[in-house]
Amino acid sequence: MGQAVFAAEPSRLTTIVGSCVAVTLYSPRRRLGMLGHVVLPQSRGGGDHPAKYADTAIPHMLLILQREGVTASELTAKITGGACMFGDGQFSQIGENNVQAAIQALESAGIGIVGRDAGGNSGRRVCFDLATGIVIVACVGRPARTI
Amino acid sequence: MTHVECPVTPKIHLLRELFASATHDASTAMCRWTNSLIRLTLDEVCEVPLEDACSELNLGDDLLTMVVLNLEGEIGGSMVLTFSEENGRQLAASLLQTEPSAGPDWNELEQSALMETGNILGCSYVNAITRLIDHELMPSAPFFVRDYGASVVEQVLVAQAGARDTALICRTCFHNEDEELNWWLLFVPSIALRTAMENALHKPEHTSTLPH
Repeated sequence: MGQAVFAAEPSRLTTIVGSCVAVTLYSPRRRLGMLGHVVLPQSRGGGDHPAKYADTAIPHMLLILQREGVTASELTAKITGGACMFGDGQFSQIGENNVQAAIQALESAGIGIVGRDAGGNSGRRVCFDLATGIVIVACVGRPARTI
Repeated sequence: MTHVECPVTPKIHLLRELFASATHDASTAMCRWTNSLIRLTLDEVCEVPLEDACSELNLGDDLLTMVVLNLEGEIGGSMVLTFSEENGRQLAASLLQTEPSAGPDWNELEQSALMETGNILGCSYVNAITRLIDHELMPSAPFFVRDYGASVVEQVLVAQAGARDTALICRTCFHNEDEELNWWLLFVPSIALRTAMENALHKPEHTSTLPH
């Protein structure tokens, strides 16, 4: 939770998300990218853990990728997660809010979103293959999906 | 799940005493409910970095059967009762006095049996905390969830994630006579509830009467 990890082929990055959102940024040219595990939509100025919030996670991930010689224009993004696992209380909307905030942050950064598997009521196991950019999403009650 | 080693601060020490008392009450209730020797012991009260919470609990990639109980309101939190598939089936079968079912789905009776177990345990904790902070807590109806454990714990931790970069987790384990069962009860208080408990525990009248 609240972290972003860099990797290159032939690595695979895996995470499990519920209400959190997994954002992958991928450079097909360099076959490298990042997986961010976003917990909340807005940082409200807090800067200690940028990967935790959608609005700071994307710029944070871009900064790391730029140091590797990758520009935003060559990146593609995929979004998974943002479920409401249970309940209808105060935090039941957090998943949807995370998805919307991630989309907004990616659009602001000029990064195209080429895949999405979000919402619903189930957790997701996300596997990001840096050799191909393929993201495989496993979810209870349905076959694994490739985005 | 693995045992988590956490630094013990004075606040954590006081919270451990509170949860040990609540666990004792829950253990008694569990024995009555299951008509057996299933007992609970407090495993750990610790504060871990948010990004490490799921990995520290070693929830893994397996699907778990869980019952979630929320405490509504700002002074609230969540409890997650987790079972391995096998242990959950065995408990449901024991309560319903049937043979454990083997199909992929859980029928309504099985789900009800586990949810009621969560209710009973949750209410034991709620009553102990209510006595301490002198503030009524509002438990929700239980939710039956069969999913990746980490995905459920994530949503539970969000209540703390907004204000802190650490998570306070109380974990209780279960035993049947001398056998440790693959069940766990996680209690994750909201920031406000945690503050209320810490403030109450520091009052002289509470520190002198906290049961051991």
